[in-house]
This record gives sequence, C-alpha cells and structure tokens, in this order.
Amino acid sequence: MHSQSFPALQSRRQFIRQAACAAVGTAALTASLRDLRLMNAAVAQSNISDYRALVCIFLQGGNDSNNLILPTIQAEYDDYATIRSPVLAIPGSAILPISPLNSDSHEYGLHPACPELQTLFGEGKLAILFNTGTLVYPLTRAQYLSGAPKKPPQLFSHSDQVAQWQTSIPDQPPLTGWGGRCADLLAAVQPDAPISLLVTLAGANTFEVGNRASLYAVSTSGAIALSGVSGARLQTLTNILALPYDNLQQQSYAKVAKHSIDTGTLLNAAIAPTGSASFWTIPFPATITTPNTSPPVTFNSALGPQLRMVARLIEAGHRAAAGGGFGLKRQIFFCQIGGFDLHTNQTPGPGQTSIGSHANLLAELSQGMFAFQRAMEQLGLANNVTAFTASDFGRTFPSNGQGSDHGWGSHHLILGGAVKGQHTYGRFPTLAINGPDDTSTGRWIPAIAVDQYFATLATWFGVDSGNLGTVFPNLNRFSTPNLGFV
Amino acid sequence: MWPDGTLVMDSQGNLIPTYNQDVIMGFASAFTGWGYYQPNQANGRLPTNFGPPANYTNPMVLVPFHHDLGSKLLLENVVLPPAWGSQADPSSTYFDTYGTADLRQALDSIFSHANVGPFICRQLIQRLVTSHPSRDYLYRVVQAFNENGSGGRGDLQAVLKAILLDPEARSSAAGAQTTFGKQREPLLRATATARAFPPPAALTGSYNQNGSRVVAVSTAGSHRLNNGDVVFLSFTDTSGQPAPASQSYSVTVNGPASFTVNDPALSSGTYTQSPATSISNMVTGTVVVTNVITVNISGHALVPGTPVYLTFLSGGASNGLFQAIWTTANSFAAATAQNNSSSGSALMAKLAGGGYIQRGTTNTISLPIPHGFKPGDRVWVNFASGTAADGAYIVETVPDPKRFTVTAATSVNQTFRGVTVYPLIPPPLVRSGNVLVRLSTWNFGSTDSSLTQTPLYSPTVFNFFFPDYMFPGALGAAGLTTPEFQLTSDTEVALQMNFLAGGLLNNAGNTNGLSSFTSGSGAVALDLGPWMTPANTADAGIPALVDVLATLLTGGSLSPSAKALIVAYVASTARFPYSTPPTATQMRERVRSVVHLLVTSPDFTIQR
Repeated sequence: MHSQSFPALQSRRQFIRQAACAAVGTAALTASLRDLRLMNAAVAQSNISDYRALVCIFLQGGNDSNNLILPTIQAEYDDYATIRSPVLAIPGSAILPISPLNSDSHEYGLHPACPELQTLFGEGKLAILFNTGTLVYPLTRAQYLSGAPKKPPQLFSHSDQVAQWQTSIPDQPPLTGWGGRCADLLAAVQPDAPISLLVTLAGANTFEVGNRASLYAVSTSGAIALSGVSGARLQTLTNILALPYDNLQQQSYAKVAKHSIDTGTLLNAAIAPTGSASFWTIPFPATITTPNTSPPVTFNSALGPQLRMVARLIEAGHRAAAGGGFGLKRQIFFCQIGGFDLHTNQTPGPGQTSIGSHANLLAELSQGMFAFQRAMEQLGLANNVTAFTASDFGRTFPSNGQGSDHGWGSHHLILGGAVKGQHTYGRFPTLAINGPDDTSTGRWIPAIAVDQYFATLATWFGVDSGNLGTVFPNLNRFSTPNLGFV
Repeated sequence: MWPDGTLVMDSQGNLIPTYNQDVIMGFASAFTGWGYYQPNQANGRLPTNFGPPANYTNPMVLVPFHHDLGSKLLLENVVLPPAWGSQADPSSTYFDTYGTADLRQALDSIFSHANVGPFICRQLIQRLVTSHPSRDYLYRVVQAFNENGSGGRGDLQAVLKAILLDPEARSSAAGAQTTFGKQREPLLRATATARAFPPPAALTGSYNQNGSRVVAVSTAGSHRLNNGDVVFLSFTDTSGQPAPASQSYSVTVNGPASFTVNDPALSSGTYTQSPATSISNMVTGTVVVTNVITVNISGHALVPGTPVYLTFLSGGASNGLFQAIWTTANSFAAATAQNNSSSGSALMAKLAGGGYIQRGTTNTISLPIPHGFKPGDRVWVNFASGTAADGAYIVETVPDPKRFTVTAATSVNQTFRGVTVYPLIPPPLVRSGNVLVRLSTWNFGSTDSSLTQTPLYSPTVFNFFFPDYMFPGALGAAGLTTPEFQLTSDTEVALQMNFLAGGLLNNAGNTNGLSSFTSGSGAVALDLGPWMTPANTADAGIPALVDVLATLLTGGSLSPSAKALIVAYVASTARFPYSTPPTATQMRERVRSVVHLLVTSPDFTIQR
C-alpha cells in the first residue's frame, strides 16, 4: 500500500472510500498470514524421498466436456441428442464405449476423436471426474436460484474463471495459484535445485504463482540460448545484469535475464540425452491428422511438443545430479492448448457432428496424453507422474446454433500409473434444462469444487493433511476433501 | 470502482459486481442484428439480407429483422424498453431506428459508467508512465477523464495532459522511488531503438527494365545499400506499361547509386529444345515423337495440359504460348514447331499466393502484387481449394491493380485462398519510370516466436497485459502490479534479447551503419552511421559516446557502474581493433556494441 495523505474526511462519499480501502487492507493481511503459515509449514514438509510430478493440461477457452463424455443408455442418450441436435449431438453409433469398474447406474462413452483415451481408460490408467467447477460453498439448484449461499464472482467470464480455477480460492482476488502454494511448501525438499520446482511450457499463468517459489519457463525446444552474443560481449552483458539495482522492476528484470542466461545452458545440457525423436518408443505427435474426416487434413499439434518437453524435463529432473540430471524430488508443469471457446464452428454442422474444430482439439488431447503416458512408462516413472486436465468452464448444454456458450461445471481427466483409473468419480449431471443440476440455461452447477479436485492431487503430491487447509483455505467447506482418484 | 481505482465493496467487505450474466445477455441482445457493411434497400430502408460478404473497411450495418425486440438490461439497472407499437412493425421506419437506438444507448451505458475512467486511465498511466500508479495519481487523472474543464467526458487529450504533467510522472522524488517506472514492452524496446537511430529519408530514382526480368534502379544519391539488403520500392511507370509491383525487394548492388532487383511476377530458368524427340505425353497418356522444348523452372506448379506463355532470352527459341504435356516438380516440356536444337534461358509469368471470392458467377481474384491485366486479357487460373474450376479465363473487369474478375461457369458463393495465375499474354519486359526507395519495409510479420509479441495481434481481447498482473518475487511481495512482466519469463527474456541483438548485430556485409529489424530483413531500418565518427569511436571518445547514447536511449538513467562496464568492454583495441584512421567497420562495430549493451540493460528495459 502506498502511503498517501488524504484531505480531511469531508463527505460521506470519502468516508466510504476510506472504508473500502480498509477492507482491502484486511484482505491483504489475511493473505500474508496464510503465507506466514506456509513458510512455517515448509520446514515440516521436508521428509520426502521419492520423485513425483504433477502435469496440468489447461484447455483454454472452456472445453465442451458435454461432448467429451457422453451417456450411452438409450433413454439418456436420447435426452442428450434431443437437446444437442442438430449441430452438437454426436451420433450414438460413433461414441466410443467405456466400461468403468464402478457402477453408478449410468453407462458412458467418449467422443469419437478419442480412441487413445478409451485405451488408457481400459488399461486402468485414466480416471474421469464428473461435473467439477469453481464453488465458494456447496450449492444446490434451489440455493443457486435463491441467490444464497454465495457463488463465485464473475461466473462464465474467461479471465475470472481461469484465475479461479488456478488459484482454487474463487472468492478472493487472484494472488497465488495452488501449484505455486504447493511449491512454496515443498521447495524445501530440494533446497539446491538448479531449476525451479515450477515449470511452464505455456508462459506466465496463475496456477504456478507462488509467494516465494519462482516460475521457470521453457520453450518446446528447451531453454532459449542467447544467439549472436558470446565471449566478452556476453560477459559484459551478464555483468550489467548482475549489478545491484534499487528499483524493484530493474532488480526483477535483471534477475530473470541473468537466470535465463545461466540456467539455459545448464538445462539444455541436461535434456540433451532425450533430444532425439526416436528416443521415445511411442513418438509424441508433432502433427495431428483430423479424425474421421475425408480427406483428412493435418495440422500442427500444440500439445504434443509441450508434453514431449515435459517428459524430457521429467527425465532430466528425476535423473541424479551425478548422472548429469537435476536430482529433483518434486516438479510441477503447466501446459496449455487454446481454441476451445467454440461459440461458432464447433462442428461443421448437422450430419457432421463428429468432426470439426472440437473433434480436432480432442484428438490432439487424446493423442498427446496417450504418448505422454507411454513415455512415462518407458522411463519407469508412470507411478510417479500424474497429469490432469483443467479448463475455464464447461459449456452450455443447448447449442447456440453454431456451437456452445460459456458454462460452469465440467468433466475432467486424470492420468497416470498412480491413478485409480477405469473409474468415474463424482456424479454425472442430469442432462435436462431446468433439471436438478442446471442453472436454468444448460450450465451445470458443479457437484464437486475445484478445491476438492486439486486437494486430492496435492495430497498425492505430498502436501500433508496439516497443511492442506493452508493451501486450500476453503476446503473445509466441502464434505470430501479427498476424492480418492489417486 | 471508485475514481481512485479501489474496488467498491458492501458493508461486509464483499466486492460489488459491476454486472452479472443478465447484463451480459442484455448487451448481447442490444447488439443483435449487426453485420458486415451492405447498401440499404432501394427504398432507403435498412437491408434484410443477413449474409453479406465480409467487408472489413466499411462500418457495420444493422439488419433490423435480426435485432432482438425484447427489453434489455444494461449497466446500473438501466433497462431498454421492448419495441413498442410501430417500432415492432417491419413496415415502419421506426423498426429501423429502434435497433440503431439500442446500439447507441448500449454504448452510452458503457461509456457513461463510473468504472470507465479509472479502468482506462489506470491502463493509460501503466502504458505511459508507471506500472503501479498511486491512488492519488489515478484519482487526479480520472477527474480529467470525467470532466475536461469544459463539460466534456472522455477527452483523451485532457487525460494525456493530466497523465504526463502529473507530479508523480515528473518529479525526481517520484522517479527515485524503488517502485516507480514501467517495463518497456518488447515491441517498444525495438521501436524505441529504431526511433533513436532513424534511417535516411526515402530516396528518389528511376528504373529501367530492358528485355529480361532484371529491373535496374538508379538512385538520386548514394543508397548505402549492400547486396541482400531488403528495401521497399514504389514504382511509377512512365513508359505506358504496368509498373513493376511495389513491394519489398532484395537488392543486388552495382554501384553507389545503382542496384538491380528481379521482377517478382516472372520465374526464370533454362530450356533445351530437341527436334524429333520421344516424350511421354501425360495429357494423352501416349508416347509421341515430336520437337520438344524442355524448361527447368523450379516450383513452376504447372500440371499436364496447362497452357503457358514462355519468353526465351537466349538461344533463339521463339516466344509464345505452349501447352505443358509432361511435368515434374521443377521441369516441364511442351511440343514446339521449331525443329532445331537450342538452349538458353527462359522466363515464365506466374502470379502465386492469391485468393478468390466468388459470388454467383462473378469470381473476384486477388493477388499479392499488381497483375497489370486489362479487360479481355487471357489468363490460366489454378484454384487450390473450393469448387472453382481450373482453366483459361478472360479478364472481365479490373477493380484495382491487384484484383480482377472472371466469369465462372457455375454459380456459387465461396471464398478460398490458394490461387495461382499464369498470364497467357506476353509479360511487360521493356518499361521504365520512377521509383521511391524506402529503407524500412514495415513488413514485420508475426514476431510471436521471436519478439514474444506481434504488433496489433494480442493473444486475447484483453490486449497483451492484464492491468492487475503481479510478478512473483520482489515485485509481487511488495504488492506491485507490473503488467509488462507477463512477458518476462526466462524463455521470453532470452528471445527478446535475441531480437534486439538481431536488429543491431546483423548485416555483416554492410559496414556503413545500416541495419534492420527483423534480423536484417528490412522490416524496420536503423542507421548508426551518423555516430560512426573517429571522435566518437576512439578509445578516448567512448565514455562520451556512451553518455550521449544513454541520454538518447535511457533518458540519462544509465547507472555509472553499467557505463563503466560498457566503456571497459568497448574502449579496448584488443577486442575492437582500431587503426588510424579507423575503417567504417571498426567504427560501426564499436557504436553498435555500445547500443546493443544499452538496449539489453535494465536501465533501458525499465523506463523511469
């Protein structure tokens, strides 16, 4: 807060303004108390010896998970098809059936573009989590319509919902992400780590903002080295960056730039052994061929190269320092693909609902996750790595005529050897407008909070029960802090 | 928001939302019915067709039949009433004005909202002065936004004045605060460098093309260019021919005031003519014996059966129309009446990279460069996508130098890329006129993967930076918003430094001080030449050179330590050999080394 001199309070208006500032001050104080607890807890959390990694795959724009996981009992499919026809209803015959080991009196299938996910589910490596979203308190339809208790601010807004998913504290201003807070807590297990526990393949994001832990960004080809600058010129440039700076922005910029130069070389050396495309038994898809289309069209995969670099960084991160690796115990990765905001052109239109923009994105997701799982198996780290999806929100169940609009609760995927796969978790929403799960516009009221989803992952990652409430301050508002999928 | 940017809260400290989903739906309804520009109906009423072709230059037009006639909830509980009486009657002109009034009132609802001042002004301050303005500063600027002194709201001139003349922008006490300043966003680091070292003004000159694809340019003064430099040439013909395409060219230098470029409409190669030769005719699927002319032009993209006009520059073959009967990727062959052996160089006119918009049977083909056609000319057109048929067409109309229309056999509406045009007429090879030589092409292209930012191409509708972004570490811990730090990851910082180095340290051949972003491709030209004097670049002159360039680039905020490091590095004959008198290369190397270290320094990157 800036110190500033206000004129004497002269009006009610100014008094309210002052009061509002006081409220901000309180919020900031709360946040710093939380951070203090995190710092104290970090010491207690240092008794970790194995390697584990979390990989967030963010589906930017809001994935229409209504078409990722579909009901296959005829009557339920008919409900689905009636509302989603003609532009969005996937033909029943095209749906890829799955056979969960648990029974919830429903039957399900996957989008026809996802045969690889079907395989992974059948192998018990993939779990499905139904109707999850941002919540401040558990919420029924009746409560939603009556306006109490509180619901998250700015529902259906991209920027706000992305931030709320990534902070997992929807009712507070976005300061830190839950990945960042986990990193603050667990950084002590690897005090001499040459790179941050937090790595992003997709630039700055809220998920990986910690109070103290820094974020390391790499490209899909590794660290970017300086080009055209070497020898004494590079030394001078680095020396200028290493000067002391009073100005905080200069200080921060200089720190990143110097870190970039210093760490880049180190990192590229560490990942060099996995640089060959043939290193991976199942190659990561660099391009995707549009599924079920004639003639097929090929497009570049944004996700495949990101996941390939994640796999390489896991290999290097896990490898002992003596073997030229980083000898890390914990890593968190963030990947992202965009294009899910399909208000229009979600499918080419009636009769072609299995193909088009959404199908292409799901094919990219399916093939990317498949290659990633096979890569982890090849490294012998399948049980040590858990990947999961997240997205702004689901999308409206009814079509707008060309696609779907911003929704709320959505279904998600959790992948890895430690995952209790071939199971579904949570409750599939009743696919009906004005049904028990509907806000009234085909936007599902989440039955599970992102806090529960992420606390389950964080627990597996090593955040102990005593600290869980510090990382997820709203978690105690929900009855099941651990959903049991991993 | 309060006028100082703090958020409005209720008595329990909960944020009060400015709008909810109902308001979003209200605005969406108010904006219904607007589409691309199209003319009104003959009776002057607004149009009824909701599917006009894309038009990105004229203002959008309302199609009242597609406008929501219900009520609309806007901001601050304002409700626009539903269409009433004649407003809901399509035969009435009030039907037209109702929807137009909805749009005006919806825009007014946004513009008059109390949030707009603090929202816009905060971001303007962040872009222009400092990333984390105090509430007092923002409040003062918002006052100017809300009321410019003569009853006007939203007067940006008054706002800019308030921002730039505020004590928080100008006082040395404010500037000395450790929280003050802003990061120059990556693009502005490049443009600030370019502005500091502007290239010479455009050169006038003349051009002359004389029977080949080579266009010779003579400039009115020394052009200072080097082989391979990229410049933008604007041609004006004075010989009664279509002028060569005005676009970027890579030059071949002949002398201080002359260079040549190649006509981009012409592909060149070689040919061999062989009498009575056996050849597989891929059109008929038979092997025939005939006089054959085989042409090697890489990437010709002709298919068997395509007619092509060929010009032969040497070897004696006759120019004219031929039909390709055999093709490979980089060669094709045609039958010829001439029965002698010969060989030489050949030219083929080919205009690639076009697109088409077909409406009914009128197909408008657009090309990246001027085609020079007139109505009645014959062309062969290949369409890579859509249902338009490949074939010979007559040019019907020429709406502008880069477009022409042809008549299609089948009526359909479609728009596709991937058009290649082969003129079936002799290309203009003898022409002359005037030319303007610009050193910057402004052809920046996508720089997402090099500069981490592409001009006018932010990744989301929220522009490049979120105003509330806090960078983890010292800045975040201090509670400072620093939007531009969103592009300050390890990867991005390295890319940005490489981009700047590419603009300054490139162009090994040209030693007179000209260089350019992006990496010498001529996009934005720089000229270090005026600084390349012996007085500036001798060891003894380097400290003063660093001072004056630091004033130019950092407003004099370069720290003495950074200056000392730069001077120590550059003022060294061991690293930068220096003869008496110094060569241009030696002076250039020293000046650009100083500039490079300045623009990668934190003192330049963070503007205070």
